[in-house]
Amino acid sequence: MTFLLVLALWSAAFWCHECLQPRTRNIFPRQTGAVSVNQIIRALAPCLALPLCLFQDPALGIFYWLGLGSAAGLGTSVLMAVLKQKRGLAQMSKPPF
Amino acid sequence: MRETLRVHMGWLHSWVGFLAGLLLACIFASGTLAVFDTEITQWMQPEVPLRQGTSLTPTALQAAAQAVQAEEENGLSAFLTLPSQRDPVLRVLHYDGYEFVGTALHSETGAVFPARETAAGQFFYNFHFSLRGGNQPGVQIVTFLGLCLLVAVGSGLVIHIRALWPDLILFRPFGARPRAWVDAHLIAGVLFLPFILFMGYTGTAIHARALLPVEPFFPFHTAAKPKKEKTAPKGHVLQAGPLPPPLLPLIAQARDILGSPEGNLVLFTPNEVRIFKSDAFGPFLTRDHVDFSRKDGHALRSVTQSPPAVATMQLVRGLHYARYAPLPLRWLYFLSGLAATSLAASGLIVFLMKRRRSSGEQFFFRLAEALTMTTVVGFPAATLGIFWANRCLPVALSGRAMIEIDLFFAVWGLCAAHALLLTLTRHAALGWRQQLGLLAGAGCGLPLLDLISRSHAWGQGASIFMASDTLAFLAGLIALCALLKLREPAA
Amino acid sequence: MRMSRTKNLGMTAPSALSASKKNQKRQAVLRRLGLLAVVCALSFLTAHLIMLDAQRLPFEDMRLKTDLGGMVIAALFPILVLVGFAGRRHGWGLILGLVACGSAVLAGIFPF
Repeated sequence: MTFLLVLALWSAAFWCHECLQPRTRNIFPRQTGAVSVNQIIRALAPCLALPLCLFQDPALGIFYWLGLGSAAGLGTSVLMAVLKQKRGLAQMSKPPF
Repeated sequence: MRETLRVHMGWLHSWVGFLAGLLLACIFASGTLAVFDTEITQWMQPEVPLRQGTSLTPTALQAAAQAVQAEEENGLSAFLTLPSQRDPVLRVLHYDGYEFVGTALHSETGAVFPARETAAGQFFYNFHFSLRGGNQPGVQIVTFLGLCLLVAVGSGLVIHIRALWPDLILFRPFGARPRAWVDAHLIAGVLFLPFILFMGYTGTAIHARALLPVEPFFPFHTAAKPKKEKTAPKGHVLQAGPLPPPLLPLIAQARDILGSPEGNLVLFTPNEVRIFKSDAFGPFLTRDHVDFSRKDGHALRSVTQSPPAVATMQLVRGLHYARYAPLPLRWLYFLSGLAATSLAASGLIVFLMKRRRSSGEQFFFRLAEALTMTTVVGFPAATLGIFWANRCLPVALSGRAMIEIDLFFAVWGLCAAHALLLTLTRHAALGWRQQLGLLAGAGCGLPLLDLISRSHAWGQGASIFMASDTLAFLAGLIALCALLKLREPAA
Repeated sequence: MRMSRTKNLGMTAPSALSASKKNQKRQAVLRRLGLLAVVCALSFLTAHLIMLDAQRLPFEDMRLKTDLGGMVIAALFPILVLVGFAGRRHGWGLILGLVACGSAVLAGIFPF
């Protein structure tokens, strides 16, 4: 359960990181306030995940944190690519008016 | 072209990465499999039931001690691995020059399981650090490649440093093919950078002495030693010792001292019985042990304290070997290993893609493509070949383990010959398709083969069989997807 | 005549240009190869000297000393190669490599 939470936190951080990039902002338009929320989540989520991992296993927590972070990054990047593709195709198939 | 730092380091990254990557991909792949070496051995020895406890009886230990003595009489230095949660059998093993092989005993009755002979997971472990080429030149080559890996990673970082942060998880698999492969290379390299750097560094550090031996420069170190009687080669003994005393009380005593309640290692010398701490308890790969007299079983000494310098090396080894890792962490090691393998494989493909237009007609390009095909598709095909051989060869065949390994190299060699033949005759695309087809068939067919071979009951240790079969099936499925993608015209 | 000259020039200029470009590229590759060979040789020598220096560490176990030397080498060798190869301006990368090698030699000569 803890590991799922850590995975979710890392994924949220990566998601927000990607949403903050100009190339993604054009595809997923957000409100102005969302930028600071994204920045906060990007900074805080991994910091929150670390004590969770250390609480679960003080000796090996750091390895879980790093490993789950990499796995979450991979998952988020694939998910983002699929969503972008869908969004891109949807935008392309929209009527011009 | 302006010779900027990026261009300069790009050249270094491309060439060092490609030349070293041809073997590094295989080293990563075998290392990834070696994370589950015990489980692979269990898959390959389905006759050994996995539903026993870790409890030991005097009868079982007596049978094991007799087996050890019998091995010693044959000139082999045998040892015991005691049952653990991960491997709940009592094993009598010896080193055959490459792998630790031997028999498996029931931990309560001491009955020998009629298990098929196999090198199994140990083969991948040995291949990972020596390419099965022994200390010279195998370990030396792998250590040198480790240094090349670190150089390639460093130069890769320099050329990608500006885009590292903004493109942290940028992946465009639906874009143009070269873009997609570069993204895959970068994603694997950046997200798993801590793991790749750490494993590359520790692996190189552990075996650096093989690359830069000091013995020839310090002959006094060996000359100063008192001249002992003839020493036996590794894995052998010159004379058999007496039958050891009852082992159970010694093991209980040693476990108390070592704080290692299962999975210990028991080594035998002509005069001593040495009980070692299991590697599963903590990331330090200590060699803490308690020694007993082989004649009467009285305690001789215990070694449980390590000075900081020794402890540092123990930690480096322990973290690299990952024997301490509980199952979830072992899966993370496995996933990271797969990422490292993909990094090397995608790097090889990007290298070819970048040069196909300018040098596609040259002999060396075609040679490079053949070698890449041998690494990227041939190695996994040969790996699956060893799993197929394990189920297809007769169980009681003598020298079975060696035949499995020979078949692995035969399949790999055939893949290399096939790749060379087709690329040199300008049919590289056909070569890729045929080898991917072979890989897809071998991967997707393995679960079926496992099912119809009826070599084991699905009730016991089912997770090991199901996980192995699923992974093989996934590998086949990925090969099939790649094959179908190759049939489409390039975007 | 003029036309033919122009035509002739038109035919040869790009090929001459590409030949000179090819030549330049070959020169650059040769320079890089040479630099890499020198840098690797220097780094390897330094690594070897460090391994020999490690034998003077105050431990009894020779294997431990070699292992510790190996840890230093595994970190230092790639850095030396990268720095030596990257620092082309005024050859500062090579100079740094020479300094590292010299330091390893001096560490072997002087007692510590």
